[in-house]
Amino acid sequence: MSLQVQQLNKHYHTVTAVNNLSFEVNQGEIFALLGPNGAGKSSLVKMLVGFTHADSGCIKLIDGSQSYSQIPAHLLGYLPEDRGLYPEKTLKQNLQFFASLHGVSNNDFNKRCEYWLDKFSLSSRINDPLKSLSKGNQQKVQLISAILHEPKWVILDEPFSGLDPINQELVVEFLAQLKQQGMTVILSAHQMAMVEKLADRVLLLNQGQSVLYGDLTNILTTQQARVIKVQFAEPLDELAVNELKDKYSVEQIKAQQLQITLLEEQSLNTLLPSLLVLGDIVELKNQAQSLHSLYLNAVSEHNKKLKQGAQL
Amino acid sequence: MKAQSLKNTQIWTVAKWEFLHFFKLKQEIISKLIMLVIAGVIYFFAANNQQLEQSYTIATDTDFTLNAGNSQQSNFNFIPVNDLDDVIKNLNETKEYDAVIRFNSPDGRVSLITAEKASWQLQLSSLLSTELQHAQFNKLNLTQEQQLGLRTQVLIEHQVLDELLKNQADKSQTYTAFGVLILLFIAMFGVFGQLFVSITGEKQNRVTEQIMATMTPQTWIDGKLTGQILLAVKTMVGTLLSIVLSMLFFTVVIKQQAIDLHFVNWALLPWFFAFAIAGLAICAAFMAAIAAGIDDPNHSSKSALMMLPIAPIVIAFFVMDAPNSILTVILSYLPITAFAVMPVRMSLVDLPLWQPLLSLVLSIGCFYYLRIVAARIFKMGMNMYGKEPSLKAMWSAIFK
Repeated sequence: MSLQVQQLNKHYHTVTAVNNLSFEVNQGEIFALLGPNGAGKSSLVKMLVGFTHADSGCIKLIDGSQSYSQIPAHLLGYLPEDRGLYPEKTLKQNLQFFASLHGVSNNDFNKRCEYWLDKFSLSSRINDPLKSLSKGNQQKVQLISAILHEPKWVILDEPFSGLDPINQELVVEFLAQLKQQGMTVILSAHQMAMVEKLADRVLLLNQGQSVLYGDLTNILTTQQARVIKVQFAEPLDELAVNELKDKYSVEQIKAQQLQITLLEEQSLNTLLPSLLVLGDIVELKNQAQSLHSLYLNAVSEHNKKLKQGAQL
Repeated sequence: MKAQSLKNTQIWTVAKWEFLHFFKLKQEIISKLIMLVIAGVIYFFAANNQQLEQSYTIATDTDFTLNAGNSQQSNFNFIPVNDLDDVIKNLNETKEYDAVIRFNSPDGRVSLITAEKASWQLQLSSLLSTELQHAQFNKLNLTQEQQLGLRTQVLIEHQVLDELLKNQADKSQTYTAFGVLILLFIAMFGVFGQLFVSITGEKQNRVTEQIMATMTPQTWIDGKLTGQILLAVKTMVGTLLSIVLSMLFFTVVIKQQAIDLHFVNWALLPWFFAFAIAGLAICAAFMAAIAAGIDDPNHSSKSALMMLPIAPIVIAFFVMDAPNSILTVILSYLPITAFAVMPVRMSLVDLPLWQPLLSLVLSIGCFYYLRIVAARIFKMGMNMYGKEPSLKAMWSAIFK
C-alpha cells in the first residue's frame, strides 16, 4: 500500500498553495511534512483527506487491487489543525461517538478506550466533561479519537502544538507505537527535534514547492557533507570574507572561523582556492547539522532562488 | 463493515447523537409536570370564578327582584335602603352589603358600586341588563312574539354551489388540519433553534473537520436531518399527548363527563401527519443549508432566513376562504408550501386521491434534492473557517 502524489497544483484566487508537487509515502513509515507557515502543508492535507480537490495533478492511494483518489475515510485517522470535540460531553461520550462513526463495536471500544486513556493517564477522567480538562489533555483525547478505530493511515496536523515537553515526549512514544502497529503516519509539525526523532522520511515545503524530500537519515548525512567549518590561523579580512559571501553561503562564526554551506552545484574543490586566498587554514571539517538548521538553510536558499527568479 | 452498512450506521449514530443532544428525559418529565400544575391552577381559578357559591347582599334605592325563572337569582338579595350615600361611604369597612345599585339617577343610568372588583359583578351586570330590558319591553306592552323578534339576531346562511366543497357550515372539518398545523408550527420553531445551535456550535467548536474525515458531508447532513425530524415528531407527539391528557384529566376526572372527539377528522389524520413530516423534512433541510453558511452566529445576517419556512403555515390560514382558487391550487402542489396548504384544502374540498398523493410525492422529491443542496453548502462552509460565504457563493456551491 502506498500513497502517490503527482504534479499536484492548487490555487486559491491569486495565491498558489501547492505548486507542482510530487512525492510518495510508503506503508508503515512516519512521513513528516515540514515548512513555514503558509507553505501549503494544510492545503496539501486537505486534498489528501478529500476536503478540497486539486486543480491539476493526482493523488493515488493504492491498496491491493483498489485505488483511491484520496485517503478514504475508513482507512483514515485524522487530527486536524483546528482542534475541537464536543466540550459539554464526557470523554467517553466523545470517544464513543467517533468510534461508532467508524463502526467500532462496543466491546472493542471499551478495550481500546481503557488502554489509551490509561496510556495518557486520563482513565480517572473518563466521565468528566471534556471542557473540564486542560487544553493539553483535551488534545490527548482528540489524538485518541483519531486512532481508536485503528486506521491504516493517520494524518496528524501539528500534534505537538500546545503540549508541554513531557507530553510532547508522550506523543513521540504514541506515534512510535502507531508505527509499530503498522500504521502509516503523515505528520505536520514545527518541532524539528521531535520530527528528527520520529520521521523516516520528510518533505519540506516552501511556498507550495518541494524544497527537500527523501529519507531523513540520508538527507542529514548528505547535508552534513555540504556544511564545512573552517578554522584560520589569523583573523580574517572583512573585505575578503564579503567577496566570498557573494559566491557562497557563508556565516562568520568567530574572527578566524567560517561556516560555509555548499549549494548543489558547488563543491569543495572549487571552494578550496577561494579559502586559501583568505589565509592559512588550521582545520577544515564537516559540520554536523540538525534538522532545525537544515530546515532554515533550505528555506532561506529557496526564498533566495525564488527572489532571483522573480527579478529575472 | 461494508460501505453501505457503515454509511447507515453513521447516519443512525449522528441521528442518535443529535436526538439525545436535545432530548433530556428528566427535563421532559419535569416540564410536562409543570405544565400540568399550571393547567390545574388555571382550571382551579377559572372554576372558582365561574361558580357563585355564596350569596351577595345588594343595597338598592328601590324595590327590586330578579325574574324567578333565573337560576342565579337566589344568589343575589336586593335590600331597599333609604340612605344609599351612607351605605356607599361604609362599603369598605362594613361587610353588611356587597354592592350598591342606584336605579334612580338623574341621568337615567343604572349604577353598580362595589368596594372591590370580582367576577360575580360581571354576572350581576349581565342579569341586571336582561332584567331591565325585559322590564322595558313590558312597559311598551310588546307581545311575546315581538319581544322574541327584537332579541333574535338575523342570521345569513351562505350556500356555495361548488359541489366539490364540503359542508361549509361544519367548520370542524378544518379543526384537525389546523390542529396539526399548529403542532407543526411549534415543532418547526424547535427545529429552527436546535439546528442553528447544533450546526453553528459545531463550527465554533471546530469539530466539523474531524467529523468530515469520518464520513461524507451528505451522510452527516442526512444523520442530522434524521435526528431533527425525530425531535420534531417527538415535540408534536409530546404536545399532542399533553393536550389530550389535560383534556382527559379535566373532562373525565374533574368534570366527570365523557370526552368528545367528534371534531377530529380521523380519515384525514394520517394524511395530515404525512404532510407534516414531509414539511418538517423540507424545512429542516432548508434551515440546515442556511445554518451551514453561517460562520459566526453572533454577527450573521443569515439567521433570519432560517425562519422563511414558517411562512407557508401562515399562508395556509389565509387560503381557507378560497380553497379552489388558482393560487391555492398552485400552492398546494408547490413543495415548499404544499405541506401546509394541501391539508387545509383536503379538509375543505373533496379531492381525488391522486391530488394529495402527487403533492406528497413532489414534497418528498423536493426534500431529496434539498438535503443534497444542504450538504454541498455545508461542505463549502466547512472549508471557509473565519469567513462567511456570501449568498452568491452558496448559490454557486449548489451546482458544483
